[in-house]
Amino acid sequence: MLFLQVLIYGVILGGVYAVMAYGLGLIYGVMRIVNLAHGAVLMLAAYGAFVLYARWHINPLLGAFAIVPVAYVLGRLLYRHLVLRVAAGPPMAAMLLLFGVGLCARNLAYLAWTGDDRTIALSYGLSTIDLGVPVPMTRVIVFAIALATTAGLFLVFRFTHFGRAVRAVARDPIAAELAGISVPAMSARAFGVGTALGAVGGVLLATLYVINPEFGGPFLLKSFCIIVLGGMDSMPGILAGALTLGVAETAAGVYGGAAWQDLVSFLLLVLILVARPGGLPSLVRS
Amino acid sequence: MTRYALLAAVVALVFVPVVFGPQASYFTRLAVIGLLYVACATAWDLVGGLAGQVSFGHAAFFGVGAYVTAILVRAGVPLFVSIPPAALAAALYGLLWGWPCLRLRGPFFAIATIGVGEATRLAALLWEPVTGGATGLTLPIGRSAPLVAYYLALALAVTSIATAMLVRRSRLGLALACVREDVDAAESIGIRSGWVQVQALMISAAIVGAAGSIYARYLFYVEPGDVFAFNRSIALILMTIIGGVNSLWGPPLGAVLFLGLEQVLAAWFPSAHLGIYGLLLIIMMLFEPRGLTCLLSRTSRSASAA
Repeated sequence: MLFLQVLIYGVILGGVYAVMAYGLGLIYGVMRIVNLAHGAVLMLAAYGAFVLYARWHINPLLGAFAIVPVAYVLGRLLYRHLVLRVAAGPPMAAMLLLFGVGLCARNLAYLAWTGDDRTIALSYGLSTIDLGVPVPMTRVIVFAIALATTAGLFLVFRFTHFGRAVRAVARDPIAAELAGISVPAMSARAFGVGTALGAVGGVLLATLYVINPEFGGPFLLKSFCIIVLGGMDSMPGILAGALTLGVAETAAGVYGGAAWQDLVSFLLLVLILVARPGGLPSLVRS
Repeated sequence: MTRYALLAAVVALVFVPVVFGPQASYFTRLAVIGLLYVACATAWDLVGGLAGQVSFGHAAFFGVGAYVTAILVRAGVPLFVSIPPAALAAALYGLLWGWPCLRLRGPFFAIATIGVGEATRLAALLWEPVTGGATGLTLPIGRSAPLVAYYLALALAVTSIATAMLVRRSRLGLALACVREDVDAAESIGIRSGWVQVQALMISAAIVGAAGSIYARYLFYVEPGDVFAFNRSIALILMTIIGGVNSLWGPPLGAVLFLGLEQVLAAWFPSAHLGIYGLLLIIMMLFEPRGLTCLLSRTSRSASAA
């Protein structure tokens, strides 16, 4: 019974984690940039959902429709005006710059909303559904949205011009350029879409966890862990990595205690980075 | 010329407490922290600059050094004797995770170090019988502590800069630069890229560990949230970037500027310090990614050319 519970809760958590990590994977795949501002994106989107809910009583899952386009535009602006300028500089410049952006965003959150914990208490937050074990309604709905997002992404990547172009650039930018794809334009769009996906993840997480300015940090590390588990830029890989982490974390929380829950993703991250560098060629020689 | 200026600076620093008195004043505290910053930033640059592997996890070494000293002193070991074991423990800790992680390059190493740093902090929180958990450990209060700490910190800062100077001139330094520029080329001429980087990390870790040790004996108190704080690792990165990555004098310069900045922000803009660090990072990356020393040498060169 406990095992079944761990499995169900783990898979649900993994589904949400997958949405949270897609954006990071997409930006890395296209630009080979690790977006250290991703945690800030998650955090700001979570606050966006909170503000919409607290002020106008808009359900955060509907609020996402307002937050996601904003995130897309901000992502493109960030890429166009900051990231692109350091692209020719030292290799770590973009990463450190984005880290700086993340610091600024955290500070803004402290100024705007203080360091207090905020929660979004949905009207159906206390009701549960019986799936062999009782599961909170919120989690089921959030998981459904995560699945829908995943399905939508698969369709976009397989059937649209944007999806094919992104995959081409991720595989080989020069060949993609030769085939008539504008790599800078595609990079800007990918950065926007990656930020927008991060915003979806942030909104979903906001319904499950307390929100504060430090909200993004742990989830950023978990996203890293997931995209590394999943082989950096493959969407099915990220989904698999997210489910693995979700189940592993839930199991650690149940059998080991809450403190182990935080530790497991870090340990998994370091272990996978160490144990499988040959299996993921991009890891060893960047 | 520079050599005499340096000597003069060190002699001046030796006599500072004689002039200002040995009291535990604000300035003594500032001087101790500043000298530890100088030592740590210089050590960080051996890995982050010379080896080109940006570490977000150096707080782990600081914390390990601090905890080893705290545990030893509580067991009755004299304070001075506890510094070498602290440095050694930090170096071995560097070996432990550097050996596997340094096979990774660029962003992947950086991410792994974030993981290592956070895992170390959480492990210290969990391992309560040894580390005291979130409560931390209190050291027995010794005598004449601030003055001793000042001289220890000064000695460490000088040691750190001297070490960096020696490493940069040595075979190891050349090998590190070679690996940084092109791993494959370095390996093809017989450099074991992983091993030279591990050596750099261990040297760096030993110095940062010693700094943690001095810090612990200065405060008489260690606690995971303080010594293992992610912000400590970030501060080292900021100092080095402000001063100049991969240079001998960049990190010490950056450390002094950072110390000043930290005081100003704490006094006047306590609620905006994160954002200002962030802005600084962005501005440095956009306009002077190689740091202020680069800017200074360029302006002095153009001045002498004119």
